[in-house]
Amino acid sequence: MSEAAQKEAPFEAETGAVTACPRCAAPLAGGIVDGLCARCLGALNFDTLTRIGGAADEEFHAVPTVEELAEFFPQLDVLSLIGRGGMGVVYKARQKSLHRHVALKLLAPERAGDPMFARRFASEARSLAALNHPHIVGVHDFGEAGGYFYLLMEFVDGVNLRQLIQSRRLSPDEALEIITPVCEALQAAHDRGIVHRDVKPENLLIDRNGTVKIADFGIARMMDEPVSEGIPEVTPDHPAVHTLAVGTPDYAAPEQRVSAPCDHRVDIYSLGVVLYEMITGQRPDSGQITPPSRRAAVDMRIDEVLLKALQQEPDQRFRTVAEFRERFEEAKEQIDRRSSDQDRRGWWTGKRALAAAISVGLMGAAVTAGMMMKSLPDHEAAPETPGEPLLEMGSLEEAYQAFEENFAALQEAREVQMVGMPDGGNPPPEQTEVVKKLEARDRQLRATISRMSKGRD
Amino acid sequence: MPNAFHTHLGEFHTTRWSIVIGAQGHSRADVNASVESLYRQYLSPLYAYVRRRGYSPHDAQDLTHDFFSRLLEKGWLSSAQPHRGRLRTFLLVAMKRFLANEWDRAKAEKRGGSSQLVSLQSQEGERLFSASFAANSTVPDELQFDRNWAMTIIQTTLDHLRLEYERSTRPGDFAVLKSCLTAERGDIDYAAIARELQLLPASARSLVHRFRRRFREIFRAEVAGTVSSPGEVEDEMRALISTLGQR
Repeated sequence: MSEAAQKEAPFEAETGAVTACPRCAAPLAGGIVDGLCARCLGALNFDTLTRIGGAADEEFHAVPTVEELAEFFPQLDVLSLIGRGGMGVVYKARQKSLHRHVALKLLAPERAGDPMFARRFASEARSLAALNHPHIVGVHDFGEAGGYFYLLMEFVDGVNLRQLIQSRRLSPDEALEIITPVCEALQAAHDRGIVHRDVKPENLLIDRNGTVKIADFGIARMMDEPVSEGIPEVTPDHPAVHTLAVGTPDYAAPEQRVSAPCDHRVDIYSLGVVLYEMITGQRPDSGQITPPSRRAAVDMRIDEVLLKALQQEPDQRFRTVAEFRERFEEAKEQIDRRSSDQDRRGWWTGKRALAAAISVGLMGAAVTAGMMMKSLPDHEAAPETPGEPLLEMGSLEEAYQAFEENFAALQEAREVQMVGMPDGGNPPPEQTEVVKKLEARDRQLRATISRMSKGRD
Repeated sequence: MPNAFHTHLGEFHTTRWSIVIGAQGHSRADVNASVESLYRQYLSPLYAYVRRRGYSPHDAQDLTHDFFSRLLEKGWLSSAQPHRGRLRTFLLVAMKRFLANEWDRAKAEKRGGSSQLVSLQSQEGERLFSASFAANSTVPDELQFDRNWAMTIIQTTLDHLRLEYERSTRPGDFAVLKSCLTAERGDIDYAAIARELQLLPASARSLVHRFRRRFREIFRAEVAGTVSSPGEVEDEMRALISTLGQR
């Protein structure tokens, strides 16, 4: 609807002329608020339908291109997109003034313009920038541009731990080589009251020299809590959207999953999951955890340490990351001593294992160097509707088109159901049936598209 | 905590009707503050209703003013009857009773002296009245009251949203995004919005999405402030919005 047209004729009723809303065709007279059709504004409150996968899906498909970014970041040569995920997208760029490579992270844009978020973002970004640690990816700058909040960070040329463990299982020695600096860094951050809250293999980067660095410190927290603007967000269409936005379910501590208060011990839990996965190649089971020694050739002393880190109750875990590390090292030393007479091949390889492992990883991952996030977390994928009969569609594009058409029809039908016919009449008796049919087709099309997209990957 | 709670924006006093009608645990001052905020927000639809009942602008001003004074004096609100339900219905019923029984006495006791606030709010009420009178004179007065009530809540929502944006890091966005509220989603020209607001194209969609969502959140919160329990919010929203489509 043209804004200009509305501005010119805000109160037709006063002059007696009755014009209709160009959208819903209802007479505008007496029903205009701020130049907009009151009926349409009212109907908006029930317009809670989401497109496939919701906003996250739309954003996933529409990431700013390198060319588009140039205008908004004149201080940078933006080179390439290197990662995307639930909390934003990352580009490799060159900082013109300092001739160095940097990583530009654009946070998921739904917070753009939000004054409360802007304040918190600034304060968090400052404390991240102050977190000067050799094993934490440094924050150089931050700001807001083109509708995005962004962070300018140290660029790490290497691989992430996910890529490394996908190539092969790691020995406890290698695991220790990675975990030790991670523990140091986490402890340093915890000492300053900063909790990572999203420790996972994708966030543990290893550069070409084998130096480990933790990425995305505190980002989960930034994006997590609802930024309430005085009115609590208790809408049924957004029940607890923020609790899952944080962390990745597989690595999140139990208290994070239920949005209970959490402290630095969530990092201990997540680190436990990472370590378990490095050693066994699998993540711990959700109920009773299988001791790592039953899944991989490791000593039972390692079991003890890992199971303590993975306790459901925060009080039962290690009190600090430093304590976790000490106990892991102790366990390993004991094993080393005991097995010193024996053949030390197999799981106990030499000290240079990590560098070798990384060079293997790098061969396969040259293209994705510096990748911080590889794919959308599972919970953001298009909702799967099991058991929904699939529709025959010639192509994904055709399915999307059918979805769009049905979606528009459904919106319209719901509006009639809710607020009556555009001409003011009551909704026809069969309207509920019409809406139901369209909803059923909506579900079918969503399921079909979801299935077809998977086939395409 | 007073009954009217303050947002960080300060100006908005979303009255919690549920607290007002369960006012026993609250001080007189709290209840009065709360009624005053009701008064600011809902005087105009009540005024328009009184006008529609045939009273002159001047009488309507006095009447609505007296009506609210009576609400306080008589302690109607603090008599704690949670089953009173929705503020909208309560005020309309109370006003009807007032017009039938109290008005003559009130007129005899006191005349004139309405506050400046009344004249400000009654201007808005007068606008509501004349807008609806010309086009919808056949609409029953009660329906017109409900419709004006709905429009008042929509107006408050828009004002709140406008203020939020004025105080944000992107104050210019409101004027542009506003038109997206009533546009068909498929018709929104994201590229044009991105150009106008100096946004990266991908973020325009998110901004519009957030803007529309925020409208819904504020609207819901406003409605929630007028019902006695959270379970009634959905029903009240439907009831209000359906009045906008009826003839």
